[in-house]
Amino acid sequence: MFRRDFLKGLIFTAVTAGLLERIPLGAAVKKGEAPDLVAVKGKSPGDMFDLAIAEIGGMGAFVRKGQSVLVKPNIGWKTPPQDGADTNPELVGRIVKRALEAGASKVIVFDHTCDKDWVSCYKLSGIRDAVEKAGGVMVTGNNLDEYRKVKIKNAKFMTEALVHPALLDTDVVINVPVLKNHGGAVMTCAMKNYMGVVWDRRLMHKSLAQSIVDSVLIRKPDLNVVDASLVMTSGGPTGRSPKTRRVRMDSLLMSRDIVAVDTAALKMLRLTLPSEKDYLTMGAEQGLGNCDLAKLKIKRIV
Amino acid sequence: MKKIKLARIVVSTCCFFLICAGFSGICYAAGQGAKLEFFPAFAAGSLVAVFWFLAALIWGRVFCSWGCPLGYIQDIAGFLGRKLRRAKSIPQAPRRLLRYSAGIFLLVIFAFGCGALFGFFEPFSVTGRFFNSVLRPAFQYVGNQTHLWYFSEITPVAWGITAAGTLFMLLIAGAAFFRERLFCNTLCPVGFMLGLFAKMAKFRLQFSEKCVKCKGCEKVCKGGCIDVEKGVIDSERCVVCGNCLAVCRFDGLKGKGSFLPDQAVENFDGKRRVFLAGLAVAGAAGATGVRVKCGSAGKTFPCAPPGAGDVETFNMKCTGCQLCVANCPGKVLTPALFEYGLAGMGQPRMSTANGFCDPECSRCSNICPTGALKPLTLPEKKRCRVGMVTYYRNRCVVVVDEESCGACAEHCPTGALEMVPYKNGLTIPKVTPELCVGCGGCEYICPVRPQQAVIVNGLRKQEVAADPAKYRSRDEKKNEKPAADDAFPF
Repeated sequence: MFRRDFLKGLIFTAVTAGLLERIPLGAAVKKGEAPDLVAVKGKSPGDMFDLAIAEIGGMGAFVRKGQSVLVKPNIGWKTPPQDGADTNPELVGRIVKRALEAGASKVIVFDHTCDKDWVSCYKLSGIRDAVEKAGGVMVTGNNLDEYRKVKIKNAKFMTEALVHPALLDTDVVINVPVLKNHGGAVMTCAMKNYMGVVWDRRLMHKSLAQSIVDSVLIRKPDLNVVDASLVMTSGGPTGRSPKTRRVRMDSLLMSRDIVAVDTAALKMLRLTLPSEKDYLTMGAEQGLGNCDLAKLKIKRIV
Repeated sequence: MKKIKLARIVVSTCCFFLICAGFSGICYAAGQGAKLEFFPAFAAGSLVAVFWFLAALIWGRVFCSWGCPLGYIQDIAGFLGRKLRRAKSIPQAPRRLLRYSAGIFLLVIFAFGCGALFGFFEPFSVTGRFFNSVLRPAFQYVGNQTHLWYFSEITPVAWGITAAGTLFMLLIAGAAFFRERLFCNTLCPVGFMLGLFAKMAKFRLQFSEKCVKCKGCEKVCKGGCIDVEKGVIDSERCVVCGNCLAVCRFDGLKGKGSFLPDQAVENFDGKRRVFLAGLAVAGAAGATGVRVKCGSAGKTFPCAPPGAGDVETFNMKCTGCQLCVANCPGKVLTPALFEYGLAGMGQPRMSTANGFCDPECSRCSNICPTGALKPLTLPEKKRCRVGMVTYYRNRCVVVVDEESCGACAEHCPTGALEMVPYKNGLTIPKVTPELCVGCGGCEYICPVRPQQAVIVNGLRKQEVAADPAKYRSRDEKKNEKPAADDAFPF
């Protein structure tokens, strides 16, 4: 009898432990209570990420043990971090670290860089060092042979595209754009960061706003983390133009909703999209998210 | 004496793989090794050429066996030939008239500005063309498939140049398979130049009194320059490989101390001298004719790599070794076929088909071993204008399709192209010509095809573009401001 109880207890403990394992670490925040959008200000990018992720449910709400994770920053240009053209390396490194701590089997980081010399882009942006130090893997986004052709459901312009395998094969996608002004698209942030997973960017510029929406339709990210620490408010997106203006905002936005996070980001730039080419509204209409901030639960940490 | 041969094998292998690495596209530092090659150094007027000349005056054509990558390739082909054919070298006819004719003609056309055509026979450039258009893509392909090393877009090679480069290499290696250093002693202009010094070399090899005429040396001589029967070693053709020293068991060879040329080799009589002089004049006239008639023709002119300065001078001097093409991280340099005209075949031009000039790079100008491209510092290169942009409004997607785009301005490194308000909240490109450097970023990314809405045309004389920093007004110079307020605007 005693032995049987002991064995039952043992099994019960094992099962509970097993279940607990599957329950996200951030269980402290119940699902209904988690904010839709978190905005943090005034700390270093990595620390702001830690604050925001705790608010939104903890890294465990996104990354389960054994899952593979894609962290997709913007590494478009061969520029140092102080130019603000690429995502802050500290932020990318911190996300990689937290994903691995949450039990990710592998964290992949890449971007299809705009400057052709992707090795230098990775290096000069500081992202390679930060990622490798945190235990992540940098892969190239500039090898055409690796891209796979996929059909994009519900796409209106770019109905099929050559897509980087990391976006298609990983379990979790964390989108980490840097907020910048863009000469053509007005703003480049979470949605436009998706241009870096598609091979043919020339085609995308044929119908830019719709292509941005279509690229996100390939696969919505699970989490969006916007680096708004050093923001190009005009003359973007490379910072090479003499008209470039930068503002130190020391902010970070986080949301599961890619449209919501971009809508908030646009307000931070204090810019508006042309009504005909409003890819936020278009994205919302195609079910990518919510572009009405009034309907969202926003947590502000200043 | 086997040590000399061993040393030659070690040194030449190091030199060869240094050049290989330089052309792999992933080792820019190794590419600087090309400056140790004889002809590039000679064309650049570098002291390295003096070194090779002195070496020729002391020991003979040391460069040909110890430093020349094409010599190395021929040695491999010759080695295979000797093993597979089970054949031995036999004394070759001196072929002095052919060698002198080819050498004089080629050097004259180089001096008169047909550098590219000359480059089809210059050993380093022959090797370079082959490496860049055949071995480098193959190397990158393997890297891409295995992920063992740097992987990158393999830019399509210029097929005409690839075909020509491969054909020349096959012919030379094929000749070497049967006759070892046949090319070096007939058509090679470097062999000719160094030979002129080597025939007077202080320590050139001669038979000693201990020679027993076993002909062991004759059978391994790459140049076919040893004739035991006649008792002569033609040091003008000797490539100082050390094979003969390694096989001689009788101490029958020695480096003789004298600066006087041998009398045993044939001399040119008056008739032949007239012929050679005539050939030189014909070469000069021909080269000038080719340059005037076929050089730099055409309505649109290609962009030459930054550092070319006066592109015509560049066209005259560049031998088309393609080291800059192999080391271009922006994938913008490609060998020209007829874009510069016939006289510019194989020389680098900028093509936006696969890339654009990297604003943070000045490699091509600093790696050029012949000095055809003048070295530029990065700040100099950032303002070096190689071409000028033209914006065709009637092709632009913003105007034609009323779509937002801005790709050209995004890729512009200087702000020469910027987006300004158009209508309905759209923005449209605006050109500030003073700032344009002609990098081709805009032309590369422009989505409009087949003719882009922004076209960069090359300049015949490169210029210095305006300093973008001066285009900032004074109060805007400090361009990193703190945020206006603490709260979020939402």
